[in-house]
Formats: sequence, C-alpha cells, structure tokens
Amino acid sequence: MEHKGFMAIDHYAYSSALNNISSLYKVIFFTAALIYSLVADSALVSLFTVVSMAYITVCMGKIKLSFYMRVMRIPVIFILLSVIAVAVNFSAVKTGYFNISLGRVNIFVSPRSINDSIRIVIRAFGALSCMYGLALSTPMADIIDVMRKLRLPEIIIELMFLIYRFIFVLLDTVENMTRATVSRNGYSGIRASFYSFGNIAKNLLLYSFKKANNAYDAMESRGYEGRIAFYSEDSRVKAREIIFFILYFTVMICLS
Amino acid sequence: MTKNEKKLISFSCVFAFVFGVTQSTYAMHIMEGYLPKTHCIAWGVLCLPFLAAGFIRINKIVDRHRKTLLLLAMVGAYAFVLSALKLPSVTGSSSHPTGTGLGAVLFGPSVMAVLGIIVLLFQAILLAHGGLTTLGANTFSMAIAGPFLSYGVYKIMRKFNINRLVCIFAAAALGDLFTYCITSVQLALAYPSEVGGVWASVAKFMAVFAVTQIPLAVIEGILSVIVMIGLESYAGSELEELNY
Repeated sequence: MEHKGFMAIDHYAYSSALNNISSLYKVIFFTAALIYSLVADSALVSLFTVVSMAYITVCMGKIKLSFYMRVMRIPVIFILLSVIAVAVNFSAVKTGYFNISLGRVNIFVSPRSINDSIRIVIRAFGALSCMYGLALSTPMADIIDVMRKLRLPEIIIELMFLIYRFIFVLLDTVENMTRATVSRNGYSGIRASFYSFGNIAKNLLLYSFKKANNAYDAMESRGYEGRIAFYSEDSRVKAREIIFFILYFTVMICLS
Repeated sequence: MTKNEKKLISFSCVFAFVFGVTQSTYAMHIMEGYLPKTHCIAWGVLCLPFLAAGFIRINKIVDRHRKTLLLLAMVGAYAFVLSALKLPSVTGSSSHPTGTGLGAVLFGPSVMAVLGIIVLLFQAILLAHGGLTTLGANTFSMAIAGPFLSYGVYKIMRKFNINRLVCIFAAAALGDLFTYCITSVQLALAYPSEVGGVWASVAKFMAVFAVTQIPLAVIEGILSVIVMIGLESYAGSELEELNY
C-alpha cells in the first residue's frame, strides 16, 4: 500500500504476532501498565516498562526493531523543547551551573532542574512504551470494538468507525492530488506551495462532502435506519495469558 | 569573542541543527507520560462538560438529519488527514495545522470538542502524536479552548461587519495561538520554575515553543482563508446546509 508510510503503525498492528490474543485483554493489559507506571512514578518501574514493553512488542509481537526505534524517535522534538524549558532557569542573581548572563538576567541550570528533567524523560518513555505496546499489537478497529463492549454511546462508536474508514478513503485522494501537484511543480517555492496546499485542502474538503453524500445514499438504499452493524470477533483469554498478567504486575509492584 | 558568546553561538547551532535535520515538527501535542497523574485527571474532568454538551448537540443534529453523521465523520477524517499533507513551512520541515478553527466556525465549537477528542485519540494510537493519559489535556487545549475562542472571535467580528475572510483569518490564527498559550500553561502548571514559580515557567514554555507555533498560527490563518474562498465558490449549497 502506498500510504504505508503515514499509516505505518496501523499496518504493523495488523501484522503483529499478538493479533490472535483477545483485544479486550490487550487493551486492559497495556492501559493498566500505562496507568501503573504513571502512578508509581518511579524510575525503576519506568525502566522496567521500557525494557519489558520493547521485549513484548519486538520479540513477542515480531515488530521490526528498526521500526520500533523509529516510532520511539517521534516525540523527540517535543522532549527536547520541553526539557530545555524545564531545565533552564532565569534569575537576577548568579546561581547554579552553566551561568550565562545576558545583561541583568542570568540563564542557568540547577542540579534540581536537571534531576527533574531526567526523571520526566524516563517516566515519559516508560509510559510511551506502554502506549506503543497497545498501538503496535491491536488494530484500531479492535480497539473501537473494545470501547463498544465497554458501553460507550453508540453514536460515538459509529462516528469512530466511520472516521477510521474515511481516513483511508481520503488518504488515497490526498496521495493522488499531491502526486499530481508535485509533477506539475506545484511545490516549487513558498508562494506556489501555499497556493497548492490551499487548493488541495479545499478540494479535499469538497471531495469529502461529496463522498459523505454518496456514502449516505448507498447506505440508505441498503436499508440504513440509524444503526450500523459491524462484524466483530474476539479470541478467548487463555490461562497462560492470565498468569502472564499476574506475574507482570507482581514484578511491577515489587519494583515500586 | 567572550566565553559566554561562544556558548551562546554553539547553543544556537545545536538548536538550528535539531530543527533543520528533523523531518517533522508537530503541533504541540503533549506526549504520553509527560504530565503527572493528578494533572491528567484534572484536565480530563475539565473536558467533560464540553464533551457532554457536544454529545447532546450531535445527538440532536443526527436525530433531525441522519446524513450529518456521515458529514461529521468525514470532517473528523479530514482533520486527521490534514496532518499528512505537505505543508509549506519556513524552516523547511513540515508542520501541520489543526483545522479546528475552520471547523468551529462551520460546525460550532461543542461539536468540534467531540470530534477533536476522537481525532486526538486516533493521532495518539495511529501516529504516536500525543498520548492516552494526556488525552484530556490535549483535548482541552486543542479541541475546546482553541475552537471556542475561534468561534467567539468570528462571531464578534462578524457583528461589526468586518469582511468575512478577515474574520476567518483572525479566528483561525488566534485559535491556534490560544491553543499554544493554553498548552504552555498546562506544561507550566505541571512543572513550575524554581525561581518565579508558575508564571516564569509559562514564559519559558511559551518562548521555547514560539519557534514552531507562531509561524504555524499565521500559516493556519492563511490556509483557512484559501480553503474558505474555495468553499464559498464551489460549495455554496453545502455551506447553507450548515447555516454558515
């Protein structure tokens, strides 16, 4: 598929070796681990989740290591910027390390602020690993299905299913439009880029209005009366999965 | 050149390097695990009334006109797909607009809150932007604060009979800027500065993120106007359906 680049996580989730495990189990396992690592707020627990989740995703789920490393780098900009903001301090007097004075203001880094930022980064990566564990083992459609089982309002579930479906429809169109624009030098220079981007965005919106109309007509002619039935099946939870669950959280609790 | 000047130059080089090399700079989605637990819960709870209002409104719209559900789903998918578009950007990297300003003007802000939280959930799981525990905070800044401000700005400016396109530009750009201020406040509340407390920290976060967010707000404003011009000339009937 062409949009594998953009929707790569979705693509890998479908090919995960953990796909035959009950999605309800997976959602509960990963979110529980996520919440626990955040609540415990200890470096040891977070490091354990980073390592164990990498093992679960890469070794048990058979996701390529190179891809796992690539998704790990996605929030790097956010981390860099926000860590700078936490670590660097301003003050009127000279204190701390790496003092840089700009006229009357001193920019400095204090031991406490360094400590804080290291702690934040470790905790963030622990939680991030849990989220990636879920994202790379459970396709979106299964996650939505779990939400339906958890009794989220039907209209929200329908909206989510439809949005998920329409994303692929629109992505195909975007791809064609972008290729057509690029092949006509539509992105040469700032002025042209703005013009092209605006045009694509506009045409895409018009196109999606039209598609929504067509989809409605098609559904109505097939007897749509306000409820969309989706096929869903879920595997049973096996005994060893429950044992794994208990062991995993025992280790986590012992570490904190 | 003094020692300090050297430090400053090397620091700015690192900064430029980081921005030049990385492929994509995203809007300010607070990443997974960045906020402490109490903040995650608090921001989530704060979103609830808006989400409830949006939910009731969507139910009402859909009851009256079943087709709108599909239209709303398309808009949600559209907002998601916008982040895949190649965007002209000053730094040469691609950054993405949120599109919520325009959406708020077209559909009303409370509807955008519900669509926003779904799109943010999708972005977290499918694109790894943002996170699950920070979903509440991100929803509040991007799908509630921004759209509500955009909507307010648009309505007030229209009252004074200002040109529609100027209104759209102001609504979209100010909505983006407001989102960026709220996110800075959220981050600062979680990590107040040693010296000067929360407000000093707000200033720090705003200064750091200004690099990406201020150009982005202007770009979003311009693009919203371009899209709106197109919609007015090609989709008049659809816009009338939305009471635009």
